[in-house]
Parts: sequence; C-alpha cells; structure tokens
Amino acid sequence: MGGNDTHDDGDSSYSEALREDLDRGLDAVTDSYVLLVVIGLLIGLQLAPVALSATPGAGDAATVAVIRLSGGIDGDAANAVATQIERAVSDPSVKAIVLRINSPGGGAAASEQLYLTVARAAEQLPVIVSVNSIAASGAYYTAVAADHIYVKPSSLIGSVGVVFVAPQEIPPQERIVVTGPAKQTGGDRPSWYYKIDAAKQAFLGAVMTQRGDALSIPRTEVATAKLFSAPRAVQSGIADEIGGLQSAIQHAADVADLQHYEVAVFERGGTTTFVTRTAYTASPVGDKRLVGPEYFVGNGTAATGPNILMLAQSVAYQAFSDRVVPAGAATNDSATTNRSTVPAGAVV
Amino acid sequence: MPDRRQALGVVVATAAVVIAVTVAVTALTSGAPGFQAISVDHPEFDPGTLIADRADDTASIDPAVDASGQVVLVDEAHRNQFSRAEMKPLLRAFTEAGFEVRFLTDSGDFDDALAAADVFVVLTPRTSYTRSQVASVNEFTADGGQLILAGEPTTAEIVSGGLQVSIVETNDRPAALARSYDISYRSRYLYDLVDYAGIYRNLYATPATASGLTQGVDRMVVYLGTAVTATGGQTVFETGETTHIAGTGETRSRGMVVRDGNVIAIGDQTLFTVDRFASADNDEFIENLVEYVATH
Repeated sequence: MGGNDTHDDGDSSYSEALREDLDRGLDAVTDSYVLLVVIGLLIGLQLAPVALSATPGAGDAATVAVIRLSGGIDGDAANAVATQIERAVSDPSVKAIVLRINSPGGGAAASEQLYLTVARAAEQLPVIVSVNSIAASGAYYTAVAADHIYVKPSSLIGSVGVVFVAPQEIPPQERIVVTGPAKQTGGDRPSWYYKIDAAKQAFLGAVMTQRGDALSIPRTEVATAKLFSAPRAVQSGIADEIGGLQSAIQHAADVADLQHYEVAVFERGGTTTFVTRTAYTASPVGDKRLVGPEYFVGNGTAATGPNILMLAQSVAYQAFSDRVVPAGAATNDSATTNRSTVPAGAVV
Repeated sequence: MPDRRQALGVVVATAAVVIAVTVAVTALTSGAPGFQAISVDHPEFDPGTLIADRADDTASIDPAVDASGQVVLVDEAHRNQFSRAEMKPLLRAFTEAGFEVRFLTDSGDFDDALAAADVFVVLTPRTSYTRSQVASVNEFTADGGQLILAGEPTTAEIVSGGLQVSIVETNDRPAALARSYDISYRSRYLYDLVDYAGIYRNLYATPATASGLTQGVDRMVVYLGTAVTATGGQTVFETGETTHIAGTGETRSRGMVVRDGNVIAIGDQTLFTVDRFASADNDEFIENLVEYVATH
C-alpha cells in the first residue's frame, strides 16, 4: 500500500463527513416552519423595493414643488398661484412646497385669497417661502402663512398696511339718480377710514398670529407699514433666515423628511405683469411685462375708487405723477397725503 | 416535517406575500389625487377684533351768547385753503351767535377791515403774512381783538394739469403770524398707532387745561393735525400719550389747541368742516370757541 491511497481514503471520508453535516443542517432548517417563514420574510423585504420601482404609480419619487408668485397680485395672478398650490397639495408625489415670491403686492382681495390658500396648504404640507427681490404688502401677507421665510441679503420685505383710493364724492344730480345717500360712494369719507382700517387690522392680525412667536418688535412697529431690509427683517422676526432658493428647497425637503427627491417648478402660463422695476429685473420668468402703477391705482380719473390695495407704498404715489415731489419732512412712513379738497381719485 | 420541495415553497410564498403587501400598502398610503376636506380656523379674522367703534357723529351747535353788534372777519386774502361751503359749521355758529361775518378778500383793505372787526379768523393761509400785516394783527389783539389761528401740517396735494397729474408739497400754516405771539406750529403731521379714529392719522384730543373752551368736551377728533405750542401760554387740548410726530420714534402727548391771551391757535382745520364737525365732541368745541371769543 502506498501513501497516496491513504490520502485518497482521507479525502473521501472528509467530503462524506461534510456532506453529512450539510444534510443534517438542512434537515434541521427544513424541519422548522418558523425558520422557513423568517427566511421568506427576509428575502421578500430585500426584493420589495425592486418590485416597487417596477410598479407604475406606486412609490413615485418624492417631489418638492416650487411655485412662483411674481409681479403685481391681481385676480389673474392670485387665481393662477392658488390653483398651482392646490394642485401641488393634492398631488401624492408632492411632499413640500416652496413659494418663490418676487412681488410688491397688489389688490387686497387677491392678496387675501393667497394668504388663505397658503394657510390651508401649510396645514397639509410644509410650505417654505423664498423671497427674491421683494415681498411687500400683499405679497408679504401671502408669505406669513408659510412655515418659514427665507430672504436674500438685498430683499425688501414687509409693508403691512393698506392703500386706499377713495371714490369721488359727487353731489346729487339728475342724470345718475341713486336711491340712498351712500349709494354713490359707499359711505361718507370718515366711514371709509373705518372700512380700510378693518382691512388693515385683518392684515396686521394675520401677521401677528402667524409670526407672533418669532417677532421681537411690537405690534405698533409692524403697523407702521415699514419695509424691512433682510437683515433687519430676520433680526425682528419678520423673516426667519437669510438664504437663497436652494436653501429653501433643502429646508422644505428636510421638514418633509426626504432623503431623495425631485424638484418640480410649477410655471404659470401667460404673461406675468410687474409694476416695479426691481421685481421685473430680478425675475427669471420668460414672458413678462412691466406696467405702470396706474394699473392698480388708477390715474386720477373718477373711475378709480373705491379701491383697496396692499401695495408697496412708493408704487401707489408714483401712479399720480412721473415727477413726484416729496413732502419736505419726508419720513419712512407715508408722509405724503392729500386733503379732502383735492380732486377725484386722490389717495386717502 | 416538510420535505425540501415543500420547504422551498414556504419560503417563496412568504417572500411573495411580503412583496405584494408592500406594494399594495405603498400604493394605498401614497394617497389618491384630489383635494382633501380640511377645516382651517382663522381667529385673526374674527369680525369683533376688526371693527373699531366709530366716534359719535351726532352734532348740535347752539351758542348760548348774544354777539350782536360784533364782527368776525375771516381771512381769504392769503390763499387760504378752505371754501365757505366747507366751513359752514364754524361760520354758521358765528352767525347764530349774533356775529356779523365778513370776509377779507383783498389784502389792500387789510388795516381798515381789521380795525372794524372784533374777531379775526385766519385759516390755513398758503401765502405768508408780511411784516406790516403781522404788526397790524399784533396791534389788533393788543387792543382787545380776538385772534383764531388754524394750520395744517405739510402735506402733498395732487394737482391735475391737463394730461399730467402731479404731487406738490403744501405748507398751510400761519407760521409767521403765530411766531409773533411765541406760538409755533410743527411742520410734520401727528399720528397714533394705538388710539385713533378710523386710521392712524386721525387723532383724539382731550382737555389739558379746564376752561370755557373745554366745557362739555370729552374728546375731539382731529384729521391730519400738527402740534402747536405756546411758549407763554397754555395747552388747552392735547393728544394722547402714544402720539408720534411723523418721522420720529418718540411718543408723547402733543398740544392741539393752545391759548395765549387773546390768541387761540389750533393744529387742525378739518375738524371745522361739514363732514368732520360732527365727530365726537367737535361740535361742542366749535360752540365753546364762538362763545369764548364773544365774551372775552
């Protein structure tokens, strides 16, 4: 007998012993249903993501929707943006909204519609605002309903107040006959003060309700209707943080707890109307036009009032002149005003 | 005990169930498209918090004096910024008290007209008084004549000129005339963000010093007024503690009506007008003013 024969016999015995061990092991596994189910669970969990990605409609990529509020806020703009917000909220793939604002405000009713829409959306999804060059008056009204407000270092924000274009007071006449003394103008001039003050109180109340915990300035300072620079806005709680659009998008994703997401920019169709050059030049919107402030305020004709606006203050007065002579004691708040004897369409 | 084929079947079946349940749950919880019915409360829009009580607007002016034989001269010779129709409440009060109301329309008649008057009313002159005119008025009051001054803060007036509409600055205050009595008008308007009548620049003024001018007056409403001070006189009506002068951060009460001897200076003219005289106790003040100048 040689050594090789002994080695071959040893190898054969080892393999057989290994096979027997394996068989005993498998038998032990297959003998236990619990163990079989556990193995099936583990395999299933590993394969489930693959199945999800192959299934249309199920598990669509999470999306952060970016919606633009650009230019003057008229009914058309408000309706378009509100519709986009509501569609985003109702889209299962949208997990957060970033509202990109570049607007000096506009009509009061249109601005209020946006505030209510954003407030409603913020109850369902994270809503983060990113301000471009300006978010004034009605645009700021829209912003305060959001969860967080980002501003850029040169952004202007605030102007919590109302601009009112009074109706012309016309004595009774025989050509246009009305059935009540207030039918022509809606009430005497003193009563209009109270009407627009109610609009202001609603605006101010919304700001105090939504921003109250963050504000370090009193209600009366907010009520001065001043426009804040970005640093001052963050310092006083009018805005939350200085940062750009990307910061806002990332913030929105973080709040929505998204590790992977897509960004969808909701573009509004048609032409975007701007009333301030600063917002116009800052806007990346392709189809845009710059109109005069008289678009909102009127031009002094009798047909302009009553008109309640939430518009950055400078815009309103520019509507009446291409050569504005400021009051001598110019102040940061609305120093220029007219008296009751001035012609029709004057700003109260 | 299962054989190996059965065991494989158990594993495959379990894995399949896990995959199916995962896909189904994901599809269901990702939500179906469509609007959700949610309710959002807006306490900030509670009407009770938005509506301010309007200042009382009932009025009655019935001066309890007989000023028969006395003359009130109203200046219209210095581009005064009022119309007679607008000032009807004040003018009618003088008339009902028995005064003869005359209007100075030509400054050439200044001295003669003044000499024949008992009361001189200067409302928001846009043209300044000359030195000689100031001297004449000083002489008038030194001789016992009563002087009523009313001014407004610097404002902007919207002026229509053909195709162009412009905003021009106006300064309608009897500054030079007031200064001759050590009375000064501020140029900037007053406002209050806490206590106001309608909007921030319509202020309440309350009695500061009891006198015949304050009798029966709880508060007046002034519409875009300015502060007035009398160095040697007294403040008769003042605004609230939360009053601002436009452009300044400081808040404190400001004089709205002051008196120094025979001179009464008021920091607002609008409170005399037809659509403002009935606010709060403005009517009472007008009545007191007429009675005061008739009896002093």
